[in-house]
Amino acid sequence: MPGLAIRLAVTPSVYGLEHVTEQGGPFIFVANHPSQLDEALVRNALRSVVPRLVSVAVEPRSGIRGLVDQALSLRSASRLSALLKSGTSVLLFAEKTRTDDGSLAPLDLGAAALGIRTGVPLVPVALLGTFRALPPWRITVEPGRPRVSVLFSRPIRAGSGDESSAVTESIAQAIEVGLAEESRGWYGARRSPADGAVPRETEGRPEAGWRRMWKATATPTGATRRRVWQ
Amino acid sequence: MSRPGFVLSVDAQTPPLVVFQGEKVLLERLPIDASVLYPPEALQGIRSLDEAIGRALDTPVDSEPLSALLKRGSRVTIVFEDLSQPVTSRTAPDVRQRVIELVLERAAAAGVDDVELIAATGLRRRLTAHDLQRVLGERVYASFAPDHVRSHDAEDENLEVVGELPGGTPIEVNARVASSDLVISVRLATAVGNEGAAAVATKLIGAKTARARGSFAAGTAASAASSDATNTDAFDDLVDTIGDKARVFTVDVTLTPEPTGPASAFLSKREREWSLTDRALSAGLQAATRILPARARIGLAQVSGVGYGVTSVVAGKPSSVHPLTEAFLAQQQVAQFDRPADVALFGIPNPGTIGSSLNPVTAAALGLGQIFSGATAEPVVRAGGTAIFYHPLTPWFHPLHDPAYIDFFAEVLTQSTDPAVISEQFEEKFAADPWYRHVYQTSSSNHALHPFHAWYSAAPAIAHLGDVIFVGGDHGSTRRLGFKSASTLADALEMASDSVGLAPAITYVHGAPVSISEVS
Repeated sequence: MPGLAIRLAVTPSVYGLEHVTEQGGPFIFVANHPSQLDEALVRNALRSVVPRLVSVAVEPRSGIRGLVDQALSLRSASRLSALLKSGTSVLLFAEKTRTDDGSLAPLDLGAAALGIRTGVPLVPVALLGTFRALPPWRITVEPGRPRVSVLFSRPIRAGSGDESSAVTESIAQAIEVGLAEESRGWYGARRSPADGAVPRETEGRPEAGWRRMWKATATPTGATRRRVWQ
Repeated sequence: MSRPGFVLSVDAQTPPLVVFQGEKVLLERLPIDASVLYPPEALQGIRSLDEAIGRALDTPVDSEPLSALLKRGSRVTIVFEDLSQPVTSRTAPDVRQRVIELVLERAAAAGVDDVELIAATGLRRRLTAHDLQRVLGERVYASFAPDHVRSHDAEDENLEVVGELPGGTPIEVNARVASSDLVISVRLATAVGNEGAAAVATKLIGAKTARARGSFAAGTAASAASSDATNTDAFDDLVDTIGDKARVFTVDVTLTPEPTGPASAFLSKREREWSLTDRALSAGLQAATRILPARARIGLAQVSGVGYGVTSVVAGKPSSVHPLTEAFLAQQQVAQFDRPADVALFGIPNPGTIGSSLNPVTAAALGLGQIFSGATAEPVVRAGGTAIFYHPLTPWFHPLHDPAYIDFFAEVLTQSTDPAVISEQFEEKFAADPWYRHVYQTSSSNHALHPFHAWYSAAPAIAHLGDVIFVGGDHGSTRRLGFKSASTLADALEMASDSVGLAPAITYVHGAPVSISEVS
């Protein structure tokens, strides 16, 4: 039922799921968190692959979700390790804070530490278009079934000898490459780091707040559907 | 090592056996004492494909790792198999996409900007944007379309000469490929000989070169000289490099010969070992075949005929990799038998993944190609014996892909079925016709020479055999192709008894033939 609701509200595209299906679980999915739509979208994408999934956000959630997190001790690393051992996958929204324009904030080291501690593969997940579809000031999703994408990167395996900061850096880079696909295309996003360019549009020279917001909510310019008379 | 093949002698206890007949799957009872040649069972597909491809790219055969060959500022062309090889999955990305993504990730990390992707179509139809997207995936296609991803054009005016055929015809190849620094060739094979020549350049040549290379006279000369070990091909020099500077790096992927998806895997199993689920699936398929109209049956094949497993990935220098791939496939797939039979039986399925039926010329060429290059190393039927095929040979041609086939069937085969006569009287007319060139270049049609080459490929088998009979074949089109049609196997054996006697040795080659996708 939630899957149907998601498909009625937005047009989801899922890429890279084969990286997950080819390996046996459990996994630690580490995603950016621009919107309230994110958790349902990832759950919907993984419904046939990962049957058991709990989600945790580094920034404490408010309302009933926050109470549930607290009651189940989901914010404790040992509890999450026990869940992973029992075969349950974890979806972590690992940004330390939520940005006002949906861009990626620095990641907490906890996700990488959990991966190192348990040896479970970390899968970076980039969520595109969800901020535009459901920004924080809206209660319902933007009409017209906006296009949103869930991009799964290749799993990162971390062992006991790895530094959590280095692992966090590679997770952040994978998510940033995914986010850059929207503006630069699949090849362009992967090509940029070779020149030392930062794929993120927002880094480098700081932009005024209104410009960032304008960009984050702009309708994508690419053709959304094939037109016959073009 | 997979489970080896074996020869079953049919007795009263043998259950009815699976026989493909176009889009139908029949369960046929064979005569007592007939032999059934089961090929070795397919290997399990590789589970962790990314790892296997990555390992092949990083530890190639007789070559530096791919990352070391990719340099900033170099001109790189990725050449990939077209739909002559099956699309390996309906739901997950195709294996070509998986390989190309990993190759491109390495190219991006090396800072390569000048990348182009070309489908190695030879004289086959050029791929549509939809086909390219299906093979490469949405993201790769969107990154390079519309200017940097395309199909090879055999009628292109800007081809580059890189050698000469024995008759003096220049070898013209795709200019982009010849001018590249590195050509990465992604090749797929489902069975022995299915991969084509060692040189990928054979699939990237111009129409004039292809005509000289594939002409009937050249074919007969090649088969006459095939016993000569010193026989060399003009393309031998183009295996590892094309032209002066284009170095070739190949990634060879082998697939299971038949779909291994859960819905259709039972078709390649041995009938005696069918589980209850297999029997239920078979009963369901039989019922669907009876009830559904032909068009819907094609749709059914499209759903069930996907899910090919990947059995090996090897990368490196083409002259070193190609023999490894061939040997691997031969070891996995060639069936052994004692002596050639008087009568051989073959089923010809419709391709599962292209969504249409085979036209009669293609079906006949595919079936007859099995006589010499099928599941066995030697012809399964003796010289002068009879081959019985199962295919409806419905005179239906794809309106977009087959305009040259339509005219070949209507104008050429009504005059003669002799390849020598056809080659002399009609080939030039078709090759020079501007209309065929136009539809080849703009409407995804097969090239005008394609039906000729298909027919020539069947010629050695026709010469080897006494009779060719199609069970369930459309009477008119079977006669036009120069064969006989029968409505049942009993009738076909009765018709064959004139030449092979009343108690012939019968061998049924179980399973699908070499290529069940579009015929090359």
